[in-house]
Amino acid sequence: MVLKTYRQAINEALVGEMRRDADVILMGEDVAGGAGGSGEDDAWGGPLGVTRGLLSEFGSDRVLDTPISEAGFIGAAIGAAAAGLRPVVDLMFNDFVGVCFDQVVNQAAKFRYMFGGQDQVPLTIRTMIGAGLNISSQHSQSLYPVFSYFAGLKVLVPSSPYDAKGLLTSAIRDNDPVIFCEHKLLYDMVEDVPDENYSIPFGEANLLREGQDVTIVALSRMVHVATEAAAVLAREGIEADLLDPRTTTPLDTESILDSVEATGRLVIVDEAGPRCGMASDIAALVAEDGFGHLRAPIVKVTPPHVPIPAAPNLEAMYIPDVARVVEAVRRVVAY
Amino acid sequence: MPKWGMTMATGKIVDWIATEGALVDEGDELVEIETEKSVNVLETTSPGRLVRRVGQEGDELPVGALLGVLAPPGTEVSPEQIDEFVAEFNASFVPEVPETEEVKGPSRVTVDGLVIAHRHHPGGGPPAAPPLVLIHGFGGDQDSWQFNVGEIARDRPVRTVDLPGHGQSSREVGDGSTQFLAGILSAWLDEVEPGPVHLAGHSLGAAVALELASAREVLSLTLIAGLGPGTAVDRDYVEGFITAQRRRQLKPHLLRLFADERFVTRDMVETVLRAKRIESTSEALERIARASILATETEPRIRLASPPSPTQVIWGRRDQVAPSAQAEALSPPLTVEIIEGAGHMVHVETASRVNRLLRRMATVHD
Repeated sequence: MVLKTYRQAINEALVGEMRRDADVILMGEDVAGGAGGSGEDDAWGGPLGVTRGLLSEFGSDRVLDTPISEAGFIGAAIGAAAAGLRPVVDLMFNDFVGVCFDQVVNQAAKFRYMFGGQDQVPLTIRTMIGAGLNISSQHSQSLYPVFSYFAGLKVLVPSSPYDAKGLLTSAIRDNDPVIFCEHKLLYDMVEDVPDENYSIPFGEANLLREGQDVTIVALSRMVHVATEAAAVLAREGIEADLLDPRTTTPLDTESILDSVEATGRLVIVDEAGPRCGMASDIAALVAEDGFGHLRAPIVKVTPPHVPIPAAPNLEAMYIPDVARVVEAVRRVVAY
Repeated sequence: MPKWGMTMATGKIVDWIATEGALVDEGDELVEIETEKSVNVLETTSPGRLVRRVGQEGDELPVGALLGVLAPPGTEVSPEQIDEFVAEFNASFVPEVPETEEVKGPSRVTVDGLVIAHRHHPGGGPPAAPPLVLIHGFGGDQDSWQFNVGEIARDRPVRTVDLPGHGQSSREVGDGSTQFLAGILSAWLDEVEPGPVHLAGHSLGAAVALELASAREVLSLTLIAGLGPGTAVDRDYVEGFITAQRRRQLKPHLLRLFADERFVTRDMVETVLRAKRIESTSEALERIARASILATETEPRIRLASPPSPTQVIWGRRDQVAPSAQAEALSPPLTVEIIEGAGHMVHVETASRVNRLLRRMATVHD
């Protein structure tokens, strides 16, 4: 039983895979912690300290600091992957994908398909998602629904240290480009994480709680909001099946549909916006393939369709909270 | 209130089975108790008359609390004496602070280059009493004894261990044979418990226990749902368990381990999945299965005709993985207990009954 943070769990997955496979390299802004500047090498380990210690173990051939040019270094990582390496590249805030969108969605996502399977892109893009640090509209979005739109990308949204290590291990071993979305409010969460390497398969939802009254599907940090809500509801006698899809592509549609078949009610909790998001996607899935089992309308609990505010009081109103989830579930159960 | 499971803090009385005033014998069912993890029946451990049900149906009581009062057979007790006893008990009763799962991680020791995870439960018995060592079955871990350890530790120290390839022990399993597994456990016992021990093993663990009993001083041996090499086992179960990588694939296999499917909780499926995801686990399990479970040349009855130690065999009548008929066919010197209504995980489903059998076996052969 070893308690580790989300940050440590990610670091362990990187160390484990870099020791196992010499083709695994790291790239990104400050991942080596100031190498190339006047500061101390490996002083920080990325903007949030996730890659600390890797430069000293694996050296500057495998842990590469890059200039602040996502178009350049994401493109270089894609090229390195196509040429045979297995890069893990840090995009930092997922909001910055705007400046390297072509590289990610038109190049990396499409190579295998457009080259008739003669090339592949075993690339992992680590990136931070989520609101809650009052860092405003351009640093707080949750863009996994955008990535999930593109066939050819796999998209992971780990909600816990255990899942982060197991999913990142699978991501690095996977032969397709994977977007690994780290929620910035989860870095200090602790959990029992095995010291050994282990991998979690993609498309396997985590069932966090079993109940017969309602299905709650929640993603990333919203899993913890939903867990708290489910505990409140249980005291009122409402028992929820709580599912965390863990990966949005591939999506474990079977677990979601099976659960709704048993409960007849669905509430989806998503920190991404209400339009064209995972909540809408999952709602559409169940409306199409599980309609006959529904006993109440599907309810989405998401932020409003507005830019994310920086003011702490407004941001707090923006992010779905326990009270909203509890209220939504009461509503579908009473329907 | 018995302690079934290391983290059990309270239990709820579901149903009193014995009526007030009834004479009860050792092994009679007294009361059904629900914990966070199971529903189990508490059995009488000594004969007597149930003169008072103190806990009422629906009561949630801490571990160690007074459930009822049993008077020794042939004695007359007045209601006032019972009142006085209950008052005295309750005045001095202090519920223990439950251990949390975080602080209760196993210890690790390296033997023959392998990391072995194990736990020592000193319990409340005389520290010099020979300990009981419990060996879990295929694909499980030492926590599968969680409903047994607490009660047995009232008499004697208990040791549990994760077999190589399982739980938090190393995934190195040599050739996967029971000889290899027993060799590692023997080296582990040399390290932590060199003196004589009582042994009990479940399923694959029974095969390992039998092997160990031939190699070192074992005072008594309990084989649960397994007879060693050659035990008739459902191959589909073993192969399906090894290949299942996802919750929805694994759960149907776990359901076959129990007569009562309510035992297969979300937590259980998750715990087994987490162990199976550790690198090299499938390979380790496959190697063990091939060498120790699926190889069927041996005839267990021949070996068990002259067991290395006094031996009892315990089996669930509704075992869907290893049919109970093979245990029913055994004869003395073995004692055989077939438990109605229990499946392969008989020590979980009827913990109280199995605990009584384990305690009696060890006490008789100390």
